[in-house]
Order: sequence, then C-alpha cells, then structure tokens
Amino acid sequence: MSVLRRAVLCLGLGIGLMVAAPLAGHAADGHWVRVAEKVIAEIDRAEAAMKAGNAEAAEESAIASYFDLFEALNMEIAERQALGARRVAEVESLFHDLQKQAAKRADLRAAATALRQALRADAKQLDADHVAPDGSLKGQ
Amino acid sequence: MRRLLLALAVIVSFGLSCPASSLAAPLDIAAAVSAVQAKGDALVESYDPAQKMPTMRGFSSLYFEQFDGDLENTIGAADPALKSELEAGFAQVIGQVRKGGTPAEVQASWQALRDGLDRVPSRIGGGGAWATFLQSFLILVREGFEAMLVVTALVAYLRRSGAPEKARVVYQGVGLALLASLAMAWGMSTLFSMSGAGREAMEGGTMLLASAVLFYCSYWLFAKREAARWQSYVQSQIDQALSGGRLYALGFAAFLAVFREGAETVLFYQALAAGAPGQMPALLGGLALAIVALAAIYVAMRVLSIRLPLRLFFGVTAALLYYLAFFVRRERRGRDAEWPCPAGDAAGRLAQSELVGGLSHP
Repeated sequence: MSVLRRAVLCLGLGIGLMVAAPLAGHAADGHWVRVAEKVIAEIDRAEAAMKAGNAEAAEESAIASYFDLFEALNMEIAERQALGARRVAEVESLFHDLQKQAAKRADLRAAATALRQALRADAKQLDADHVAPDGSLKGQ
Repeated sequence: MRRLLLALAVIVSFGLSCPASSLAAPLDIAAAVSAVQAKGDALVESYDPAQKMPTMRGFSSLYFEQFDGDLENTIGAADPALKSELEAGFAQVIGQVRKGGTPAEVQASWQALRDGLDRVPSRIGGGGAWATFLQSFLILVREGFEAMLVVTALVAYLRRSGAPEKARVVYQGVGLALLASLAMAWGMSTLFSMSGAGREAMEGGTMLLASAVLFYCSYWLFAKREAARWQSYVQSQIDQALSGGRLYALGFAAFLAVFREGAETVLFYQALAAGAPGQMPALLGGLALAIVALAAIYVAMRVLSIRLPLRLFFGVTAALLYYLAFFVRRERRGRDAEWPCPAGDAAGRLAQSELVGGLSHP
C-alpha cells in the first residue's frame, strides 16, 4: 500500500472518529426536553391568561418563565455552554419579546410560538449533546 | 525568521490600529453599573407588595435592557462566577417580589445584588497594567507557538531532506497566511457583525480543513520516523516529492496553521485593546516580549531539531501534529461556550470569547 493510500485511509479513519464521537452521544435521557416543557407550560399559562383577559397574570407568567424556570433550571447556562452565547442571546430576546408583549397587553401567540419552537429545538440538542442537568458539558 | 517576526508585529499592529473601525467604543463599566444600581434603588424604593407588577416588570426590564448583553457578557469574560451570582441575584429579587415579599425582604435581596454589582468595576480589567501586559504576552506566545509547531516541523523536514532552499515554500505559505489573516480579521469584523451563521461556517470550515491537512501531514511524517525508511525515501524520491504535490501540501499546511492563528491573534488583541482602555503601553510591552520569546523558542526548536535523532524527532513532531489535528476540533466546540461582547460588537464578542477560552486551553 502506498504512503498516499495509507495516509488517505488514516485520514478517513480520523474523520470517521470525529463524526462518530458526537453521534455516539445521541442516547439522550430527555432531561432538557422535560425542562423545556416546564418552561413552555408557564409560557402557555401566560398566553392563556392573556386570552382570558388577565393581563397581569400573563405578564407574571411571562417573567416567571424566564427567571423562575429557564434560568433557575440551568437551561440558560446549558445553552451557553453547549450552543454558544449567541444562541442564548437569541432565546433571551424571545423571552424579552414575550414580556414586552405582555406588558403592552398585546396578543402573545406569535412570541409564544417562536419561543416554544426555540426551546424545543434547543432542548433536543442539549439532550443529544448529553449536557448535564447543571448545565455543564460532560467530560469537561 | 526576522521577516516572519516583523510580519507578525505588523499584523498585530494593524489589528490594534483598527479597533475603532471594527469595534464599538468600550463599555463604560462603572457608568453602566451605576445606572443599573440607580434604577434598582428606585424600583425597590417604590415597591408596594399590593402592587407588585410594576416592580417585577421594572426589574425584568432592568435585567434584559441594561444588564443582559454587553454588561453581563463583559462581567462573564472577567469573572464567570460573579456573572452567575448577579444573574441569580436578579432572579432572587424578582422571586421575592413575585411572592409578595415584604419591603424589607425585597430590600435585602436587592442589597445582596447591589453589593455584587459594587464588585464589578474592580473585576473588569483585573490587575490593570500588569494583567494587560500578561494577557498580551500570553496571547501572542500561545497563538504563535501553535503555528510555530507546524512551521518548525515542516522546515526541519525540508532541511533534513537536504533541500533547505525549498523551505521558502513553507515561508511563502506563512507570508500568505499573515496577509490572509489581516483580510480575515477585517472580514470577520465586518461580515460577522451582520451574519453569525457565516462566521460559524467559515471558521468551522477552516478548522476542519486544517485538521484534515494536519492529520495527513502528521501521518506522513510519522511514517518517515524510521531512519532507514526515511533515508531510503530521501534518496529515491526527494526530487519528485519536493517538486510535486507533497511540497504544495507542506506549504498549504504552513498557510493554514499560521492563517488560523494569525486571524485569532488580531481579534484577541482588538478585544484586549477595547477592554483595557489606557493600557496600550502594557499591551505593547507584552507584545514585544512575546515576539522576543517566540524568537527564542523558534531558535531553540531549530537547534533541537538538528540534534535530535530522526526517529525521535519525527516521532515527536508527528505526535505534536496529531495533537494539533485533534486540538483544532476540540477547540472548535469549546470556544462557542462563551461569547461575551465587551464592546457591543460581534467581532469583539468573538475575540473576547476566544481570548478568555484561549488562555484556558493547553
């Protein structure tokens, strides 16, 4: 086998290992999906309260969804560690939008929908990446 | 070598000369903290348990509009623990208000947060001139050394193979990489402030390519560590190898190694300059000392490469290159963990994040 062929073989093996490593971590335990659903449940309460005309309760739930759940349950730090601070900024912006809409007594549907989609997508990724419940990356 | 170091100094000087165009004005930390404290004082002063929503809303807005973002990320870059403490402090105050705590309870929670905020100015910029000097020194030594590992291995190979004049291909790769680093740094400053996805794609692509090329070169060097095989190879194929595709691969490997480190270095220094206003003499002092240190390291590595036996030398250099091949991939993941923005600018955020992450890497 020529040097070049062996080098290509080694390169292929190396790339294979790089690709296989993250895939091996796909046996997610669903922790972050459960956390996201808790946050989403509070967002749902905010949306429902606004629809029912209880703007103050809606605003309170909108604020609580971030401070009492998203941040308190370490999803913010988990996203920062695994998905990057830019992604965290995007999600926080969605939370802020929800709260501003609630403060304005406006319809929350669009803001809530965007936030739900973002949280579910991120939670899947965090589980796939096996991010620990304290937000740390395993093995680091 | 002198041209290499001169070019390195030029690239960093260029990077330092254009922070005004690529980075927004540095954040006035003391003023930002004072503004947060003043608004928090007013909110707590007006807190009424029977009318909790204005205070909740006020603290939430205070967090998202004044703390979250530039201020929070700058604190996170300097002291992640303090950042977490302050975040928790906001949640604590809002939680107290939400449950209708007494004014004394809310005041106590706010005071704890306020005390944490008091510590911020002293944590940003840390030890002042000395810290800036040390950071400046470490940035260039670390980044330069990584590139030097690759360049030294490649040049030594060519010298060992009896074709030292072909080392110019490697140096040409280095020179082109320095020029490309300037362009890349400028491009990142402008393009990435508009498109985060573009930054990810380009940086990820560069690192993957660098990883693949380094992996190939490291295998190739490793396969040549047997002296007899090496001598045989040199005798039979040197002309063909040095004038063919492998020579190009060596130059390309040098280009990638220096290009990646060069672009990072410019961004690191931009971030350092933006985050340490008034510390330019310390920054330049660290830079100068780093250039001297790199020159000394380079000379030492060249001398060692001459005296080391072929088997050991190629074994060690191959191991170093394998390390780099995997290191670039590992770093790709780690660096995205933090992305602070000291100056409200995407390039600044990227650079400061790499500065923080980079200094903690091996």
